[in-house]
Amino acid sequence: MLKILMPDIMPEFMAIEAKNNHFIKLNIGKLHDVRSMLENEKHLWMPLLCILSAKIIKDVTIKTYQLAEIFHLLSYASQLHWSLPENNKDSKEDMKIDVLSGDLIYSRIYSNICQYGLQPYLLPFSNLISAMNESLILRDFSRENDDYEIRVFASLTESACYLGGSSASNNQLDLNVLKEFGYHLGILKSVYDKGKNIDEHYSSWQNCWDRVEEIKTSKRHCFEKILRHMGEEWEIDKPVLIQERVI
Amino acid sequence: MGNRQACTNPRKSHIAFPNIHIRELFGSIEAELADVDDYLQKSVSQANYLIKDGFNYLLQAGGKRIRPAFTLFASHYGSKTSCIPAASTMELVHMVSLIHDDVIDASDLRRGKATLSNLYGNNYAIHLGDYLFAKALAVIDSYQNTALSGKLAYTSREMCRGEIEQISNELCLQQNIKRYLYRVNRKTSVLITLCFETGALVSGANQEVVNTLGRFGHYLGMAFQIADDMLNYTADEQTLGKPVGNDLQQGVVTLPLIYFLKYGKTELCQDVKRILKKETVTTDEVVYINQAIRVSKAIEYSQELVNRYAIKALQQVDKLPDNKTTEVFRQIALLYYQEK
Repeated sequence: MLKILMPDIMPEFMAIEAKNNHFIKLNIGKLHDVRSMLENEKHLWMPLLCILSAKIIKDVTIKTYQLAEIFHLLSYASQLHWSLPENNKDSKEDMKIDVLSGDLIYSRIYSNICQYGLQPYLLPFSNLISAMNESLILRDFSRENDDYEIRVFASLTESACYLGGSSASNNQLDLNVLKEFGYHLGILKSVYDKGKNIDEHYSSWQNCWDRVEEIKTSKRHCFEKILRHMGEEWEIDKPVLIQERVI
Repeated sequence: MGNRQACTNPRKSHIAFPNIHIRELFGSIEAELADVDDYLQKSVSQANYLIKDGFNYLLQAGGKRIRPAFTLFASHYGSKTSCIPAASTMELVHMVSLIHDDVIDASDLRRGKATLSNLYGNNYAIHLGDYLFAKALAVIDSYQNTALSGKLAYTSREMCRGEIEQISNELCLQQNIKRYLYRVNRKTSVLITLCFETGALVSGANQEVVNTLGRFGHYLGMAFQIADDMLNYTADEQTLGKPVGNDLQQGVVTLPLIYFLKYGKTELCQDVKRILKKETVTTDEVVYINQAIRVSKAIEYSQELVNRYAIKALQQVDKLPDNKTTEVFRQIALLYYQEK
């Protein structure tokens, strides 16, 4: 979706994508076919949101691109470890490779953070990854699988927006807006991807638009574009915003 | 690694420990090791009950706490205190590698007990491993030492590469010793190296000592893993804590087999190769291969290599300040040294 909606960001992102994909082909490609994983556009979501958030709040920095690279890797790693077969007697080889590939990409994430001098981001990423895995454990033992998955995805998106924004500005008010926007956008995107009805999550729809309204720069139209695209799918309009509601 | 003979090298005057087990050398840090266990328990106190259950099961399943012990000992070369979180991190990283290994190998047992993946499932084990590794990094980050965090990240990457190398070389019978040693370094030695360096760095030891301890850890780790690989051909199930011949059945090619295939009797080698190329290796065939390897010089050669690494480790010990910890390190290195 982002690829279609944000063509202007794609060229900037392509170098990052090429670098990560080269690493994966080189290290994992010899073990199994990684093409379908690398061609899956869902892995562009978080890194592009990271760049977009920095652009919206101020402008991109080298740090923004480095963070986008890390989010791109995180998307791959979490996919590999997201859901493994429980009976590995039948699919032992694939399973082995998925586990090891995921481990290698996670370790690359941590190495990159340290190598790029992104030390202040080490704790947020460790916290994000531990929280994500904690929720996935609960998901596996719960009957409401979807709820956990939606929340995990929301935390990832929230972090992509917040950390992306923080690479460009340290205005905490703006960053909090991005953070909240990211969380609700993650819920919407997850519901959208699962082809589910928006009714249950309408408050996130409302919240996203409210937060967009709080963004003062003209570049907020990028976020509006994403929301409108989803709205068309669900056949819902932009809601009445906070300011209008108060009036 | 018990029943070692006293060594007769020039350092003989330092030795007084035949028939000793590595854990017996940790007497002076028993209290600190108990603190490590407490810290580990606390590290998941905020987590959900599922994580706590699995993690407590792992803690109670035993383990010698060798890695945190190395970190604690290494911290004696500096003056700052509170190395417990760093030492606990080393155990966490080791635990993660074991949890994920058990999923990869589809192992049902570890140290004679059911593995986590066997009890709770593969997904649980993988997520718990990822959770614990992220926690380990958060703990290390609290030291605000960029070199330390970088070393941990580098180590985890090398460990993964070692595992990937092992998988891509599974059942590859044309391996050479150099390639095997690279793998041993990545699989085991890098983490042991990190344990020593971390203790020294956290305690504020001088850089020369940090480097010497790092080299000592590297040589010790090499000796440790090669000796462990030898055990697969010489020990029984009780000693191993896993079925005999597990490595062979998993297609893992280690030094005794590499040596045997290169220098063993031609007809025996061909027979072993024929067996290993089959889809599955039976228990009887494992016994047969073990026997063939034992009667060749493969075990002696492997021990020779272990000895060489032990001597290199001892050479590093000689560079350290003379104190009780240095003496413990000397004894640890000598545990792996065995006379012909």
